Amino acid sequence: MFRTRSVTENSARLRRRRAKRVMDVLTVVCVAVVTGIGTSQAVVEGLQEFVNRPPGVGATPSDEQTATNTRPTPEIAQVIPSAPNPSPQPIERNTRPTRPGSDREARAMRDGHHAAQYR
Amino acid sequence: MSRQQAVAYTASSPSDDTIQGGQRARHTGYGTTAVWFFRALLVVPFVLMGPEVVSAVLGRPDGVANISSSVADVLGTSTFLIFIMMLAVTPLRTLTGWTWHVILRRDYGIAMFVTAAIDLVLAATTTGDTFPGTVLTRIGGHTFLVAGTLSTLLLVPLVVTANRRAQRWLGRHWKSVQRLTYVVWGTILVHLFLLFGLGTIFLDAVAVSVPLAVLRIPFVRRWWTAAMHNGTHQPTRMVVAVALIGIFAVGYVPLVQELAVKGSAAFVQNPVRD
Repeated sequence: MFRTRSVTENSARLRRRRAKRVMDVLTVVCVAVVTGIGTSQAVVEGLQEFVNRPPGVGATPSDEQTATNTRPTPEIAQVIPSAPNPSPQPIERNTRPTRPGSDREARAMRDGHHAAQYR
Repeated sequence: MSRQQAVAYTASSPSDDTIQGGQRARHTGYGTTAVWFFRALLVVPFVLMGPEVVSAVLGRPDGVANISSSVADVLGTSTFLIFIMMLAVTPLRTLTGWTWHVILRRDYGIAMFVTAAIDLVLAATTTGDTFPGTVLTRIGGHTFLVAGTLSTLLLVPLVVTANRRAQRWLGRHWKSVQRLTYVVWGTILVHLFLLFGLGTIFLDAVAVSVPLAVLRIPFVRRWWTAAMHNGTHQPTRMVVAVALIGIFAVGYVPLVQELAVKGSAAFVQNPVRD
């Protein structure tokens, strides 16, 4: 009786191990299929194409979004007039005589007496 | 669904001996109602995609283009949300001691496979505008597509063994086959990282995953179960539970919002084109 039970247990264990192997094979086949597809695509399309996302997919902005972000919309460009170019200021020599209280004297006063004698 | 099918489906840790021992979910009146409510939620992605699919089958203009725009947003997000709901079954049981919802693990696992498989089929047949080339280009032409397709195909052994008969057939090996769920979890996160970078959706997925992973750590789980059983560390458990649920919500709510926005747009056949 014990022998019969032992034989049954052994066969059950063997069957379970075989079942596990079947599931392992199924898993490996699934992985191999995806790996094969991925590898073939990387070879055919090129690695750069394989790694990079196309525009508009996931976090990559679409072409339209990129174009919109880089330049203002035509409406805004039409509404806002372009700023006039400032005319260049003529360079004039300061011909006015230095008067008491002028900038230069005020600076000298501010910087102190010791500074004034070295000017 | 018979009571016999109240068997754990996936993501049960080795210490989950009550499930392995064949304990079945006890159903109260409220429990049964809640179970059917959560089962009904599984129909949502198909309802949202239904009008576009019907439109494409009837050959209406823009039918295929609409599916191409919506399929990843609606079915992809739905697949991930269903997966997260499935993964949440065991931690919820650890946190609360409830058993009424354990039956949902199998249902959510199978629903996840169905959603992912339909997503893959629709993507392979309709996204030619985004991924010009053959069917193989559309399911494996980019790194993120390879990760997504791998996640879907790895569900096959899980679904094949998601029944009582397979559990008897595999015996103690059943658990090791079901641990493939963790590999799928990893490949899905890789898929989202390759798709969105360190962007919002990937970070949402990580935020959702962290509490579920923490409550699966054997030490944490043992400590929690023992403390709950003995009625000790109540304030600590309360604070930890609130923190974990908060982190989970931070990731989960934006994903549901994403599905609501993109799904409703798909339902009225005016999909959001990125």
